[in-house]
Amino acid sequence: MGLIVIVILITLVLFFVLAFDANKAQNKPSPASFSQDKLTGTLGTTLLETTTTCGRSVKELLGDCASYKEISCGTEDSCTYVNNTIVNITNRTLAISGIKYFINISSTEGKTTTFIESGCDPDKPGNWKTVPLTSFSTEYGSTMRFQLTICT
Amino acid sequence: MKKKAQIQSGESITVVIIVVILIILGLVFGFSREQSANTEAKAQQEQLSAVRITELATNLDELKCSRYESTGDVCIDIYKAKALAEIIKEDKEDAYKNYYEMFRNSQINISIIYPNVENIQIYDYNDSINKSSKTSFTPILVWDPVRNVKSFALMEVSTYN
Repeated sequence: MGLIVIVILITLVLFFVLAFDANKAQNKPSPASFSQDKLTGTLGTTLLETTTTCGRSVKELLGDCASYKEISCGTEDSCTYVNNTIVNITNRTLAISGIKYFINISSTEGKTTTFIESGCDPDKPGNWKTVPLTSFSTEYGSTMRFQLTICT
Repeated sequence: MKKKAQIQSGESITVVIIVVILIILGLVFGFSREQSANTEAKAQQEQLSAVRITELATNLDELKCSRYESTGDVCIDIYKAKALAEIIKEDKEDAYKNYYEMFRNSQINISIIYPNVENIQIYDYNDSINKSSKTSFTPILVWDPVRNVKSFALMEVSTYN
């Protein structure tokens, strides 16, 4: 009788250990997430400072797009051009790494300048990871926000 | 009486067998968890090693931008990068010895993506038996101070350990 009790106790202990271990494994960040964090963490700030083939930086074009729309790059206005440039770069960095994302660039007045989505529907809340917001000032005096969200 | 003793003895043997089986299962499970944890720890170590090498490379005076007013981005001077790549490539003995202490068995590439496309291999050395590697990517700016153009690039670091 005593031995049966010991067997039951050992089985219960094993069960709790398994349950605790499974829970712990779920909460541990995977090594792959370090790599993804490096890629996505500084992508926004680096992208904004990039000089485009139009001779202006992405930041300058976004500022123009959000305000006076005076700049044109060839046959395209600043909004179209900067949108295409950002898509070009993110396709060759995030999309090619299999990362699903959406980017929202807006002015502090709430006007959305650019919105880019790749494999991720912002209207369907899921397991999202928002990269810390990047705020920047434009030469037109306004403040804009660059928000990258990763969908997992 | 004898039969009762036999039944009790049988029960005890059954319980002992079950306990032994449970202990063996526990040991097998523990061993497989240990293996899994070691694999994860190794992968994490590789990633951290790549992060460390990236931080070292992007802060090298031989690479970083000298005049750029950084807003916190990583900036590499394209002419410095090409010069360093050339020096390491041509002087395999001393240059590799000098940078091996920092970069160990790894490969460091600067892959320029926009507005032009170009690849600069800064360092590549591997004397370990491990030929496979994982690559980490870090967005950086590659500045051309002559034309005043900041290109979007990725610093690709692969570690072989």
